Amino acid sequence: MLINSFLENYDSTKVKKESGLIRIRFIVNCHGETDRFRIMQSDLNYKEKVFDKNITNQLMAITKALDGWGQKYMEDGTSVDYWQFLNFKIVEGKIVKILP
Amino acid sequence: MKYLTLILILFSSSFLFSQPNCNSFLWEGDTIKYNACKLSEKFVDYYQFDMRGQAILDSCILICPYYAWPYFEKASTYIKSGNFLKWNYYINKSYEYDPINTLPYRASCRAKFFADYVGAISDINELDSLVSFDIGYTNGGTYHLNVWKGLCYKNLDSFDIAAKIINDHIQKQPDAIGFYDYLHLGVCYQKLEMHEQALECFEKQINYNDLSEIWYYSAISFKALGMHDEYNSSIKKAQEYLSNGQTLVGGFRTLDDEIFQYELDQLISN
Repeated sequence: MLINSFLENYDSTKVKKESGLIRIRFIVNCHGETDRFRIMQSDLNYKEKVFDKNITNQLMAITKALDGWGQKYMEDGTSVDYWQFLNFKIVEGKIVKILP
Repeated sequence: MKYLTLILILFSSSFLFSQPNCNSFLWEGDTIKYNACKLSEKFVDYYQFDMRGQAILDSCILICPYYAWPYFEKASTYIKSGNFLKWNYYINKSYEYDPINTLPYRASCRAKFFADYVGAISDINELDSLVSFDIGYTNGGTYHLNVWKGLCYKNLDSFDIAAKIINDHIQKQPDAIGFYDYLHLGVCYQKLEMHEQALECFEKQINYNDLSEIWYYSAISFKALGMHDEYNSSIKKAQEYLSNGQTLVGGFRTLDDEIFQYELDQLISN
């Protein structure tokens, strides 16, 4: 389960106690493979900020390791690429919610 | 159920921030907003993420910087791509020029996409203070904003407040009970260890939508009450419905109290 991947692999003891939102967006190609990971960060008031690398690097590494993404098809059966994103709400360095 | 769905769709759409009738701005004597509005009608010719459509919205803003609708549409585009920085900028501009039409959507998104429950509650309270009519529904139409406020409190672990708000809504507006209201109310009671009340709600929920979640949460309450036969039959039904895909459906996101096979397996193994 996606949430468990983060709960089991994210170590909040070795990060700064920062809070805010982190979005990781990536593409899932027609073979179900992921690439083009992009990150966006803000404080809890939606103002841009840069998190401690120990937080973002962990989230990025776990996200990149996720697999099992579904494939999307057009009506004619052609498989297509699609964008996917995960929003992480971080409070005091801990993941409190993974959305949407 | 079909009639309820139709009514909800009609009601919810009436509270969405739809493209205005441009002539209303002429009637108000605002030709600048009228011109921006007429241009904005061309936006619907394009796919939402098409830069040509976005350029039309930008032009509308240039023509009439106090016209809320193009800001709202740009915010709607950005949130779908997960760009919360630009979403926040544009939705706040929309709010600045048209708070009544913007607040339902901002309250919905703050809770749905950012777990900003305090912000969502604040938006709903502000909307309530601004209007004398019913405050309406979330942007997807699934929840009345009163219930949405209750769900925000539930997510803040204030189950007693959440239960009171949702129950008050059901009592005051029995014709506006949502698809999943009784389920969420039941889960609030369950968190408060009021299992009899929780089970009453789950039973009522069956009349609106018979879902795997009803039986999963019923099983939890039956277990707490030591009702083993009922627990076993509920687990069986939860699994049957889950396997058939008869569950909460959110589309864009995971809904409150939605369950997956993992949760059911955990309950069975404990």
